[in-house]
Amino acid sequence: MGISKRERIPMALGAVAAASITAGALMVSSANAAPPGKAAPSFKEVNTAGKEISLADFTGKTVVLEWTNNGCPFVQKHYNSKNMQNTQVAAAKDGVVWLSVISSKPGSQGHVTPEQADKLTADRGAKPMHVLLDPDGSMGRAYGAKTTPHMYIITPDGKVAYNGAIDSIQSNKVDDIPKATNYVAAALSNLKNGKAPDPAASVPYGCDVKY
Amino acid sequence: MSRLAARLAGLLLLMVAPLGLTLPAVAQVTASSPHAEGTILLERSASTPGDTFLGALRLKMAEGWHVYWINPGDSGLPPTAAWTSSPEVTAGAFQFPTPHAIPLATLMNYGYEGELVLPFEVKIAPEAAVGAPLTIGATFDYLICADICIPEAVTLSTRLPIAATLSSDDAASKIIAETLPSIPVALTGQAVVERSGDMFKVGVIDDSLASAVASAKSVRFFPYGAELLHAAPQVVRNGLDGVSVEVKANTMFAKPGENALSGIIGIETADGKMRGWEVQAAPGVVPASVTTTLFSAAAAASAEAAPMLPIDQLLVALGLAFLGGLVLNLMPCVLPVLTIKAASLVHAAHDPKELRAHGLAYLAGVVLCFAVIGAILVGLKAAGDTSAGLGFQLQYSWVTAIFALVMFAVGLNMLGVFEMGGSLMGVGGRLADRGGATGAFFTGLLAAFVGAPCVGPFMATAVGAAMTQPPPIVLGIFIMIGVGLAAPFVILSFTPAFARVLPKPGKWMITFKQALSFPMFLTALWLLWVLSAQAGADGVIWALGGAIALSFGIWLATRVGGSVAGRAVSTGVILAAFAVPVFGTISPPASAAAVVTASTWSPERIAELKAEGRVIFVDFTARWCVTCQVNKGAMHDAAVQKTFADLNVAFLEADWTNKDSVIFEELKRHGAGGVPLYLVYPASGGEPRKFDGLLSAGQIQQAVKEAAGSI
Repeated sequence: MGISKRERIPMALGAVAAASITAGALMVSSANAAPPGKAAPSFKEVNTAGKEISLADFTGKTVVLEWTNNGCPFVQKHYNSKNMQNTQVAAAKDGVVWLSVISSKPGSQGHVTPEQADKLTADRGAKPMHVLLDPDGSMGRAYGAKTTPHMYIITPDGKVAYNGAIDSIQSNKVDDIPKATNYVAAALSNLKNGKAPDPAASVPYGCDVKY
Repeated sequence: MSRLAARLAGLLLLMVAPLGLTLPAVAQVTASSPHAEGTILLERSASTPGDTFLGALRLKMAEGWHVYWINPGDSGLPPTAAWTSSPEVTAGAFQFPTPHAIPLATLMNYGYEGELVLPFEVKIAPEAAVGAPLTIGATFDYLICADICIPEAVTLSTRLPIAATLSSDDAASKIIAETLPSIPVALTGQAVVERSGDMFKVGVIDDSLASAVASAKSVRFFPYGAELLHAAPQVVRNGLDGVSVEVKANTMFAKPGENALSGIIGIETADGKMRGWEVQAAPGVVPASVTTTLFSAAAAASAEAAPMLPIDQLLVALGLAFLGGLVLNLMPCVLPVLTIKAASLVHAAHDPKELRAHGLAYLAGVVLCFAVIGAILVGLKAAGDTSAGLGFQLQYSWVTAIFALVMFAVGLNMLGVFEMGGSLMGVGGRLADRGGATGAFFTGLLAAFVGAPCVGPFMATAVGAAMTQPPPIVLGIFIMIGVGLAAPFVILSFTPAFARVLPKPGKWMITFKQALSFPMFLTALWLLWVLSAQAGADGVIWALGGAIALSFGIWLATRVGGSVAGRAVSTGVILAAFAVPVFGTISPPASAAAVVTASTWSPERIAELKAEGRVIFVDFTARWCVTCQVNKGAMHDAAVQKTFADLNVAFLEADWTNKDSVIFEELKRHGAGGVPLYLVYPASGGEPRKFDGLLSAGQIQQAVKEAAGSI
């Protein structure tokens, strides 16, 4: 009768809640996986040439990770203004490894073939050492990448030194770039001079990563 | 900063404007971007120097697209405004309504879908010149996202006349006023936050929040900053004093020792409205009175999160339910059924064993009926039908029609038109059958079914308490009402002395039984009258057609019922007889507009009359409630009418014959689970006096005189 059914509904809801909390816990563990000071999660992803690239390949070097999606207006802000390319060039001069990561799932905005990725790099005059293709989002989730752009700096001994936004003004307007502090450039400069990045963490802004 | 840049550009424009380079000339109140339509709204159609009022940006977004709260969550940006208004105009910051949580894969955003009205304060400088209209406008930038995000903007402006007196833009004011309740309010209570490791526990002690959470669909803490993991599950608990939320810290931004948290507690009410309370939580200990129970939308839906009654109050409620059931025996609606019971008792009186079986079967019937009514009410409530109260069964016209036919058939049986041969006559026909226990059982069912709508004075309180309780308690209270209703007959049937008092069975019993058929026909008539209010004259005609078909079927059964074929045909005709009024009355119910007259009750009318300082007498009634009809006699008493006229009493009627959630809410508010309920509002204002049950003309006069202050 009515009663037993009524009792079954809360039970079912309870089971669903328990399942979602478990799922949430898994999700959360990755959402905060790469805070400054902690070891950077290892990864192994293919670049546009089909070669497997892993974090271990760059031991002894400072590594920058840049989550990107060419369709995202926030990414366009930093590429159309050449801000991202300039930061890449400056980093490369200091021997910093720059890896652009695309975690858009197939069919979503920003998902590209290796050829398209290479064309984008050439067209935009971008200077990453590699563009990594992470269509299953495993690397993005391991780092807790939330937005495009979302920037990470990894020290030569494999620790996260910076996690956050490209710069200090959360907007999609090119006009704001000259007024903003470029957190990545500032952090790289601090690291070069033997100082800790300040800030070491900021709230990333942009489009959501298309997991 | 974009806002700064735009502001600078705006300033520049304003500076050059007086030099003869005019601002964009055409005021554009509404404009569209690819995924939204923006409109600038002002509460004023004309303002005055020094005036302060609200304006708003209304965004109508394309389906599936959203914009962001002041804290967008894991990604996104809130809308901004770059003002281009006249220098005499100062516009304040957006007052963001309570947002929705918008999950996106593993991320969480806070924002708005559908339509957003974003109010802002507008101040007109005291130096503004009367007669010179001012421009109020801005370029509104917003990031609008579905699965992809697009920065869009609309440039809007409006010309506002400055006059000596204000005039309001009613349409715009209404739109802005509708969004204001969703803007978070300052907390009147206090908020504390406990940090243990990487968990935050926010405790908010606030009465208005506590009661809002009790009936909420969802509760969430929306942080202003980045201290929390936006996508982490939030564990919400609530208690008598408020609510608490546990959520994981984002240790990148909430450093150990940095324990203050600010944000809003946002809730979605049962009717889907968003409400918010602004929280500035200082480090402290979260009290137990806000963590009593785990909040879940399911719990809120099934019990409306009313705290379970303590055991002593529960016993009182059960006791009152029993008393209420007992009193129900005296209610006019149950009396006709009791005559059936009386008839069967007389039959059984000669055999104490059969008498006891009768009593128990009757008890089982009554209790089963109340339990089923209780279970259905619980089910209806869980399904979101909050307007179902006691007596709901007679609010369905087809149920009323079937009962009228059953009563008619019982009457025919008692009159001796047919004897119960086989089982084909069904429930009604068996009632007066000498078969005993089965008949008694159905009598019990019937007594409870027609008795339930007549809420006895004791029952109103018990049922009022019951409806907010968890399902098992609701059922318990209904069962106790049934036990109370059945008690007198059960006691009689277990008292051998009673049997001796009764006359010996004999020929007189046939006469007695036949005489009792007339109360049955009267009951059928009453049900038809109820039906006439529910399904109109057509419904009554259908029911009468059904009655003729039923008579025909019964007659057939008595003629050809001996053969299998004859039995099949007559059964078919009888079933068809019941189907006729069901199909005839399931047409759409009469529109509610028909009952709106000058004396119709409404909460608004009460407010108006109270403002006039009049004594108000409200009659909460229903056609199917016989007690209500009896009381109508008292109200129509000449002396009462004269008192009403002399004291200028406003006489309102709330007719609950058909389902009406507004009336039901009012009944519940006054602790009544059904009708009758009478409210007498004093002329001096304040809370009304309540009456239920049977009323006398003297009582009414006394009450209104007291309310008028003339005693």
